[in-house]
Amino acid sequence: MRTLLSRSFCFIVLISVPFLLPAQVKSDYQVTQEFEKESQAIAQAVEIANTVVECVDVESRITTLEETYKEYKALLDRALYPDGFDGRIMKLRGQISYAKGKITIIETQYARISELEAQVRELTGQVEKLSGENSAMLGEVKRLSASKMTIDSLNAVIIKLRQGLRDRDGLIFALVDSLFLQYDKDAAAMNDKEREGVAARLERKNVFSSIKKAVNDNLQFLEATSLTGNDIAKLTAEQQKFESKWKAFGKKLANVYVSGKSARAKEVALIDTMLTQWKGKLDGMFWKSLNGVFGSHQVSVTAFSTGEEFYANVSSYLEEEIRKARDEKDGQRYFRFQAFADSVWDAEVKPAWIPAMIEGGKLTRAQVDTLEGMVDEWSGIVSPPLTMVYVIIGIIMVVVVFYLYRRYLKTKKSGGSGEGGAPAS
Amino acid sequence: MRLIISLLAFVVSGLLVGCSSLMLKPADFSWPVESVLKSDGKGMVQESRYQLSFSIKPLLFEETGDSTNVAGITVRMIRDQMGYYYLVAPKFKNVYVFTSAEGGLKLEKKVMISEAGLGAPAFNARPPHVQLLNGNDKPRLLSKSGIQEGAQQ
Repeated sequence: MRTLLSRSFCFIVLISVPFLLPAQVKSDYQVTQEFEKESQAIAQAVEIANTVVECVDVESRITTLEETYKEYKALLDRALYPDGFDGRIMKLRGQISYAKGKITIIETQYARISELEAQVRELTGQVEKLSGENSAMLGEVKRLSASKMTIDSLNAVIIKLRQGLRDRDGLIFALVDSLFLQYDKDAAAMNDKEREGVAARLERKNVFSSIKKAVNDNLQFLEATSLTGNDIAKLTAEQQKFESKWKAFGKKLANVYVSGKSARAKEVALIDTMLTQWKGKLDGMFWKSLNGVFGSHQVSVTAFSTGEEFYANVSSYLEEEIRKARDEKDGQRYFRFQAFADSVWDAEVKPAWIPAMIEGGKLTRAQVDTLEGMVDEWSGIVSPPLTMVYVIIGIIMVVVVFYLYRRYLKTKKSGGSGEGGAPAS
Repeated sequence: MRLIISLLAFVVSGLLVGCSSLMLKPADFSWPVESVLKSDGKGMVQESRYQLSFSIKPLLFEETGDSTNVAGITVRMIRDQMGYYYLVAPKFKNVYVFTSAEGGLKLEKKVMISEAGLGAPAFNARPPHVQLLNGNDKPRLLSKSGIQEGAQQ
């Protein structure tokens, strides 16, 4: 019993000791130092936070700090000169908010880059697949042309090949765009490391080979096929599109391969030359075909081989025709106009060739307007006024009706007198 | 004679009024939190917030009788509303109250706290007094004249 009592006493004493001892009083300095230490630790955590989750964790630490030291606000306001308690908390919140914004952007960019990388991989595969298909089709076109097979099968392959070439050209530049987009900045503003990164990616994705192959295939296509009319105009527009994209890409490349002596810098020059060849070949075909459009309809426009010549020669032709239309009054002048306007200008030149010329910088919009104005002027001279046409048609109809009526009356009269004068047998 | 005395009294009082210095009152010199200062090799301490520096050599000599080991000593300092400086350090038996003097701090009062020496002393500002803490000991209020017994904590 005594043992039990003494044990109980010891237990009570032991558990009472912490309550009996006076609690240690914290000095203001200690409170301030602890607050400072924690706020500095939070500031460091902000610095090293790399993910949004870490930022959220730091935000929670700020809230805890604020809650814990709220009771010392008056002291900390005086001690933490010049920020004060609220100022320090606000500063921490500002820092974390800035960091969070930055990290969110980085994470978004990372997601975007990953997306673009996947796109690049897919495009590279597509470019390679289409290149293979196009090569096979080019071979097929050559084989069919040589063996003089049925024109339908040849045309079908040509159409398919053209579509293939167009798709592949578009994919190459989509691939290039995706590669540059990953850096989210102008190539000129890139540092050496970023430039090396882009160059390595261009190598890995065989961008140069793909572009060279694209130009080469297009050249071969022109050689293997004898295209005319609208096809040439369309191909010219496609070549111009390719060239403008290459120019835009070329500027970026010049910034990536800053030293012009590198092998790739020389390759850029080679592609430039190939493009010039492609353009020259297509230009030759373009003007030849366009001259043919006028020739095939017996419209005697002097032959041209540039945009300026086209404008000058067509203008002189129109001037001459307008002058003739004013001087001559015979019916031929209207038929000449019809041959030009209906069969050449409105049917082929205006819808198919003019847009290609404008897009290619061969002709200006003002020059087109001038030519259009001249065609309208010619039309105005040779075409009779609309009301006059109706009046004439009206008069002709009245004359015809009157004539028919008179004939009818005459027939009736003669018929009637014949019936009345016949002797009964 | 009475006239002369009155005249003299008038002149003396006029002189006294003219000589009395201008005083800006009230003023509050109190620091919100004590400063913990560590001495350098020469026994100098530097308070960066209030731009104050002084030698603690004479203080150490006064407290310990030794002015050779003066480097790396941590002293705690606070200023009260009236502008008096209170200094203490671990193992000190006294708190020293100083007032500003020309080019130095002049001892105003040496307040005996513990014969055994203070273990972990610290000051808090408790206007108009200064609170002295020492570990688990009961906090004490100090003024320039010494311990304020019975004053509200």
